[in-house]
Amino acid sequence: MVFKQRELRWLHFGAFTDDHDACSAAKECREAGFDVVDVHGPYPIHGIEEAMGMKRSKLTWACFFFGLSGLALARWLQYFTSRDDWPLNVGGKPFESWPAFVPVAFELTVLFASLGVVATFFISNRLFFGKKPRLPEASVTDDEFVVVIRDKGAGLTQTDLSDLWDRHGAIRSWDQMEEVKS
Amino acid sequence: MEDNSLREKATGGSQMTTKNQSTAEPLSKSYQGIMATGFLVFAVGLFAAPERIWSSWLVSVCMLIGLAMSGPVLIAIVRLCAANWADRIVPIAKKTTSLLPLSAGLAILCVFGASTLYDWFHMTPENVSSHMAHKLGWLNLNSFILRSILCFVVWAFGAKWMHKKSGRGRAGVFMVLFGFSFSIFSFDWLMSLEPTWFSTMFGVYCFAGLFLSGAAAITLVVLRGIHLGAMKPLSPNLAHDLGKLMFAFSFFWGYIWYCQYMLIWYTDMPEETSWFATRMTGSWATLSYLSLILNFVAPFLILLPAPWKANPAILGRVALILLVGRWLDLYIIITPTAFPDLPPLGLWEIGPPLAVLSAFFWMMSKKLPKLSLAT
Repeated sequence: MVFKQRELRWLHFGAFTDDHDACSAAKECREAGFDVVDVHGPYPIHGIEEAMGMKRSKLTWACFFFGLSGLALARWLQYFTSRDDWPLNVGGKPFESWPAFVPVAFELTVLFASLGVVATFFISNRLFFGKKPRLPEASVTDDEFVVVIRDKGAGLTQTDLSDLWDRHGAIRSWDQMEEVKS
Repeated sequence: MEDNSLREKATGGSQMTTKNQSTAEPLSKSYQGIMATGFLVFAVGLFAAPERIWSSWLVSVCMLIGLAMSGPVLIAIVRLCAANWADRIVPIAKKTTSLLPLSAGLAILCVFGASTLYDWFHMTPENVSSHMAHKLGWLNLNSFILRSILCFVVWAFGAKWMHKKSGRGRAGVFMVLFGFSFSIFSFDWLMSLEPTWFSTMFGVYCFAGLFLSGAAAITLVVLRGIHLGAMKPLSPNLAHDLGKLMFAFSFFWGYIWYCQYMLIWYTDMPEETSWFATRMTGSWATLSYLSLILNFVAPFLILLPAPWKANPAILGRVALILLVGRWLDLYIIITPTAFPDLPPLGLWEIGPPLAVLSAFFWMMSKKLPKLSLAT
């Protein structure tokens, strides 16, 4: 019988009333050797991706390939139906008269790209109906910003951290244990 | 420490500008030379090859009008969208209207070329064919001149409006007025070259070309200003935004071109297809495809990756491609009327457009140091 070992680590939270403060705090936390887990807020913050050190999203590639598959499907359908399966003479034009088919092919490209990328976004973020939101505090849906960080073992003390929060004008800060998923 | 470095940067920047303000635009001599040569080519061409030079003159005038009016249009769009990103571009966009008097002057000359350029000039109720008779009330020299003057008056006042710190309401009114007046201008000056042909999309097609060339020209002026030290270097965000503007309107031009082409091709009515029949066959077809590549395919592919959109060196090259594309676009609209079989290309076709472009960049580079954009 194997017992799964529970591993715990600390998460640190700082709450701010100003988005710029949250942004600069996240940036300094990262420079001081913390992992910025997330920054919660009521609206998107300009420049938060750089402050958190997020990598460029790979979602654009998903969008590209969904768009490509939409285009391919549209062209195949048009080619197959109007040239091979059921050729119709429309004003003496060639059966496979592609200029007329461009708008539909374009629309199907957009449809596949947009629906596909939204689905990819939901799946990759594990967002589904009925999922309980994991918010550090209810106030982040109202007027506060909360920066969540995790120690990477850079050897910073609790006073260093509370100094950091204070310097950026945090109104509250607290810590919490988190179970590490393995 | 951070404050110090900021101050150093600021003083360094101002030293750079004072140094560069004393040395004016080094290219201004070449601009003046090209302008003089180009206008000389026009004068000689009036006697040597009047038919070719008038077509080429019309291309140049339309190009300059487009560049002059793209500034107010950009400002109006920026105000309507409350686009803060363009704050540093707006002072330059305001200055493009200083080309409006020159373009009006050059446009007046076209009246003397009207008998060479426009078929309807020679039409009278006696000699006109039955399917053209109803158009004579619109297409005659007096009403043509009246409408053109009205257009220029609307544009001059609109440009003045956009020059002031006016609100969104005025920007909206200007856009509506400009949309109407520029459509009518395009119908009168370009579409009536082939008076039996008509396309309701022609106005927006010409507008797409105008705004695309304007975005390219303004980008080039910005890059030139930075090179001369009259402007602060572009932040990556602003460079990215300029790239996005060119990318979007390049796509818009391609979209409108295709819409017009596809609807006419699909309906296949002789009075509508005549225009494309000349332009999409023989040597003109090669030039039409080249125009599609220069205005749409090449900028689209080059500006697709985000890092390339934000790279000033690439932006400059794309802007140059787009200006050549703008010339080719107008050349294909105008020249086949007089030369349906073989595209004429020589000194007469190249001189005047180059003169007009030099006039634009000369005028803009003279205005740049006075804008104090270096800090």
